[in-house]
Amino acid sequence: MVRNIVHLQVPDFCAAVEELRRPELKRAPLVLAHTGERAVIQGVNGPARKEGIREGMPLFMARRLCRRICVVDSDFYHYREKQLEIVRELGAWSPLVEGSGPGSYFIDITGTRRLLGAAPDLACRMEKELGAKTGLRAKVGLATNKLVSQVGARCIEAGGLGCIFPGSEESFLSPLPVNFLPGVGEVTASKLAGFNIVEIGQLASFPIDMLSAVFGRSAERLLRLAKGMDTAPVFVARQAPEISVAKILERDEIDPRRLKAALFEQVEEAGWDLRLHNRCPGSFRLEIRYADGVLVDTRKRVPSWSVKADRTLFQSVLPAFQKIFRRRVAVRRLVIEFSELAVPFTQLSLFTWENKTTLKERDLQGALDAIRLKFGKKTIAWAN
Amino acid sequence: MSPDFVHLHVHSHYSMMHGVNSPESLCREAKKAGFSRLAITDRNGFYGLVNFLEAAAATGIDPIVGARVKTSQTSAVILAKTPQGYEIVSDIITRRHTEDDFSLPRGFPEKSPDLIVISPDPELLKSLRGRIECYLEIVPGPRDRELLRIANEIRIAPVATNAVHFAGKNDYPLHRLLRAIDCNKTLGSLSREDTALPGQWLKSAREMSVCFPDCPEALANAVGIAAACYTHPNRFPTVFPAYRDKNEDHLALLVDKCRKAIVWRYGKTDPGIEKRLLEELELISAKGFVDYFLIVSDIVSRRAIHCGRGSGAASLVSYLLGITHVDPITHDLQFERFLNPERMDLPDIDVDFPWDERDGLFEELTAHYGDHRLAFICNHTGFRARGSVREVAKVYGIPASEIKEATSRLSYWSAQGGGKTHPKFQNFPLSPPWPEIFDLALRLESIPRNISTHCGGVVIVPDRVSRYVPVQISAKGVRIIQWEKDQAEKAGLVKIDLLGNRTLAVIRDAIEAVWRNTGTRIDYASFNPVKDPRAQKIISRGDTMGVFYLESPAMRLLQAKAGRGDFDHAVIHSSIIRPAANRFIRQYLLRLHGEPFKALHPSLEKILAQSYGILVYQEDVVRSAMALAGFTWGEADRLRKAISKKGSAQLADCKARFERGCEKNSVPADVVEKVWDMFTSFAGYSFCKPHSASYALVSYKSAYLKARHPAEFMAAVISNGGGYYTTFAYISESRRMGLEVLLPDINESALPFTGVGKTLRIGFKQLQGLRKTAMEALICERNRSGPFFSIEELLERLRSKLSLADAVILAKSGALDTICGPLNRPRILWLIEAWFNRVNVSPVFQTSLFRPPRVKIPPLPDFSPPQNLAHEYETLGFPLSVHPLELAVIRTPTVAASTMAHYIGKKITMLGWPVTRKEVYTREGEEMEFFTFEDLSGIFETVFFPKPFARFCQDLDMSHVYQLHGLVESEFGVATLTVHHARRIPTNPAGPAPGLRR
Repeated sequence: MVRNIVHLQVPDFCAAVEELRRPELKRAPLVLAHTGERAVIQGVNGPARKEGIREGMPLFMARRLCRRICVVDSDFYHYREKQLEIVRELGAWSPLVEGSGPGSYFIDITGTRRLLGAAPDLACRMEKELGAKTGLRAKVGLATNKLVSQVGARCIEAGGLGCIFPGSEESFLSPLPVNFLPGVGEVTASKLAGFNIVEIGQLASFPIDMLSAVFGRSAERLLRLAKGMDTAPVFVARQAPEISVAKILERDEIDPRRLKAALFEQVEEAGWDLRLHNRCPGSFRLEIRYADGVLVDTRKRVPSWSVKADRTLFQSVLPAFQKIFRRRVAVRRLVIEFSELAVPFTQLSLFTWENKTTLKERDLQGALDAIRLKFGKKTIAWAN
Repeated sequence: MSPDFVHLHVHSHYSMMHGVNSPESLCREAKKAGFSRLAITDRNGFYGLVNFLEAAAATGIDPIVGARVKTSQTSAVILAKTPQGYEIVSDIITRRHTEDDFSLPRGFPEKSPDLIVISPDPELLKSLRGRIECYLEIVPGPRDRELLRIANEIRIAPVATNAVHFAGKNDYPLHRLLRAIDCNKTLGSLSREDTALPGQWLKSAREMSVCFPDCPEALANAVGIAAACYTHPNRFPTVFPAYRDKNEDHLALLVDKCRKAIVWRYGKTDPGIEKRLLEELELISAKGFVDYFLIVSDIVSRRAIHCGRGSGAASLVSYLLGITHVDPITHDLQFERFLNPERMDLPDIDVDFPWDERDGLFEELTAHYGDHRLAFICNHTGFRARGSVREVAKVYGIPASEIKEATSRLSYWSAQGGGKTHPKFQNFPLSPPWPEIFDLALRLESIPRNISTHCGGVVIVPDRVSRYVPVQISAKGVRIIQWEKDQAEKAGLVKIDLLGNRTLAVIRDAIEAVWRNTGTRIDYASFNPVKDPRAQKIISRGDTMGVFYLESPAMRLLQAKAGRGDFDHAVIHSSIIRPAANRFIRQYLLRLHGEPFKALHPSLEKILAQSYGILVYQEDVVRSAMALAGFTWGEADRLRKAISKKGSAQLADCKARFERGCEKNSVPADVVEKVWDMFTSFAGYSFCKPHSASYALVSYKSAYLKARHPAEFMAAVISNGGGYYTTFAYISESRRMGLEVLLPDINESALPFTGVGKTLRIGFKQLQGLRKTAMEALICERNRSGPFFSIEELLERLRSKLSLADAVILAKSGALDTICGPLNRPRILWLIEAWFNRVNVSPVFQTSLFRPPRVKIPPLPDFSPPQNLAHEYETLGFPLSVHPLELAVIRTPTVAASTMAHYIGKKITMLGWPVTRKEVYTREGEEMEFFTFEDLSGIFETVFFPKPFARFCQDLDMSHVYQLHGLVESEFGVATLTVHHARRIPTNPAGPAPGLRR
């Protein structure tokens, strides 16, 4: 059966969402970044892109390129909410909706013609309604698979529809540059450029044995991409609940003592949430982002004895931190994420002396929580 | 009053990366704290000993010599009780550094009354007891009580020290910083063992006694030990090298050698030569330099191409021995500058060798003289501005990219008060912790970090080097002494400088290529082209890119402005070009072009007759001071030395004495001032005439080769590297000289560039990223079995020696174009990739039994010119098919460099590709820059004065085309551009604009 896949792509999603909140910034070059001179740009809008500003650029460099940029503190929580909201909205059209990235959605509308009308009409309606409900404009691609609909959306302006009819995939892709293909990364593109293969059509024209002489096992995949063949289904993601506390340090920090203090604060915050929702975590993930952008993380199980109190919880997190904090570079961000949340279930011990200390810790934590609940979170804290 | 305490365990900053203070400041602090004696015991060395003795003499401290010898197991402070003890300590340190299985108890001699050992290790002391005077070291701290108890138990006398690592309490953070840099850690992760205790500073006797309330004996022992040790005098006897030969009378040998050489150098002797020779030989033997000359002559005779320089070139004896090649009689070079009855310090002869022959020569010398007699001078490498900022920033965990952002803005030599005022720091936020980093980095400056091999200083002694100074093995694997050249000289070690010189290798390679290509043999030693008209012509025009010593932009401008090509003027030019002498250069040029002048004083008329009344050489300072102020030669020479060392304290004293002397001779005050002004222009940089003449001769040799054999010469210049300019600048120069630059070729190219007739062929060495083993295998295979005919044959013949990456580089550079048949470059690359894939995938094809099926190559379009250009940048490192200027997108008409001279006094716009740059400071201390650019018609000089520099310096780099707007100014017929406005020009990626191609 011929499938019908719609791809909606909101260009510069985060910046666009931010513009919705602050319409006065619409025409100005807008940049999303945390405050501080050494910040790195996390999102840009169209006018800023025109000035040569890109994601990942240090803020001071962007300032040098364009003096009048507006810097807005990025609010990823809000963007994620918006993203989920759009996925929910799109669910009205089809049960198969995939939010593959910020501002990027695949909707499988195969077999809905009788119910909702012709596919191109439906795709246009989706875009229109998205615009009406959220104010965001999207590029729309419609084709028989995810690959081609994505390329189709890429070829047009926001608000337009790129519709590729079944059977014309190959001729549509043929004149486009190879780096338009999702799945052809920098490495493959530069290898292709080495043979002066710049258009997808060139690639598609080679017989498989010739291509595999050079590309080996990946030749087959490459050829299928170039011919617009893709059988990947639209994948509906389900997110497991987790508690995550991320913190960007005020200043890049390398002193282990201060880093530990910052981490402890995060663990406390997460612990508070856990106890508030009456959950106990099965594992945690700790992520360190260094000042030069290098990311390291580790995942560990949480031993059951430690979940009762912040201090014991921290004791089980600390070795993980010491294990991954190895480089002589300052740390910019710490993320601690607790997952596999379950309802606490503990058996009372037969021998009371066995876990006397943990019980003591639990009581202490209970007292602390009680004070905080009554008088506010900041009223009592551990001494450094 | 008898002292209460003496510090016997003190580290200066010569305990590399442990100590913080210089010996000078330690002596000063010790004096302030009321000490009259002090030991400096650096870690495993005497690195700063001479400086310590000098500082001690200056501050009135009696110095005690010793060292702290540390091995992985144990450590001990060893003090010398006698001068013999000094030699033993030096030997122990040498063995510590040179023997793999060195251990402390075994490192000591059997029994010695000349040493005192202080150590916190009871086991070590127990094994030494009875042989050597031993004390148990007690440092105030957590272990002091325990050690006192052990001392009582094993009956070894305790001695109090403070294991000083820094002079004052406030220096502790700096010590921690040094340790963090050394251990590659951060301040937070330093462990207890990595650093000294916070209390280990130079405490006063009172403060020390507070630490030992229950053991005054430990303090008294320190005083006793200090009294038992001798005070090392701040004077060293001169140590001459000894020439060992069967013939015992070395003077007769020297005379004999000289006599024989007269025929070689002059044909026949005459009274003038005889008189000079006699004078020189008398002085040489009186001063004890006979063996020295014989050794240097022995060294130079081992290599065909060399160039003796420095003041030694003034000697007829060195000319006759073949050490130098400039005739001192014809060129009127005064022997006094080299050896003089009044000269107190040690003169030295410097000899240059081709840079790639030096290591072999050193090995030969070591084998000949024995490695215990010969060792190299070392360099004390310290923190420089960029290095220290980088290291401190690393300790603070700043990411590498950000560090580079900051350090690239620093000039090379100094952090300039934290760099904040430099225009390059505009718009660069110095947010915390940067200000802190700059402050700390500034404090690190001048602290030595490690030692490395000096580029050519060698000492040869009659017996053992380690008697005089500890010897260790450098990272390069050679034996080096622990003193750098200043300390070695002060300690009386006569050094011979054998330096590497790239131009000598250029001349050698060019001579060889000329012989190969044309059959003409040029003999280096007698090769004297100073009268060659074509060499003179290019020198007089300043067309001297690639010519030794005359190729810098400043020098080329001076040559062009002077318009003289003769030897005497070239000698003057190579000496007068000094940063502080700009005014005098102008004056010189005016007078050269006919402005009448009068000598400053009648007595200077004769001395400065040749140089138009301007002081040019070091000797001029000496002779003027003698003539005006009635100085003796020795006094005048001291004055010269004081001037040439910047900011020397002696200078003010010398000036006063000079003024007094002049007054006595009734020289008018304004003349005195003018002369002094000229004197000070010598600060930091000055040459003596013999040195300039030696180098000028090398310049003429290279100018001759450039004028007569341009292809061979330019090929040698580029291949040897290290010239003043980039390879691309030399390529452009070659094209201006009418040479055709050819792509590398698999069958034609050699490893280096090769020049034949009117062509210059790029060599394999230029190909970026091509592995050395691959190119050597390629050349070897080509020599053995002949040229390659096809790509598949090439890959087959070099199977397993050529990697895929190597083959791709060869293909992209165009080296395979001649053997590829009908294939274009994309198809060549396809073929290579497929060939390597096949070999990796199916081992069947690796046996030659089955011929592999031919690779099928799809039709692929050829690369466009911009793609080829990108490949040239990638593989050659510079563009070849088009000049970057041809790709510039320009909207306004511009003036070409060749027609610049028609626009003098007018404002014009030019287009330029940067060739070289030099940042300098104005007299007011503002930054400005001289920038050399080229365009398609020629090379031109520009200047950015402070205002435009501050405005544009952040935009200027060496890899973009610039549009320059400014005023053309002319001086002595040479036009330069004073830039008012500079703009980076985008280049058109689609290829050159039509009509601009050459």
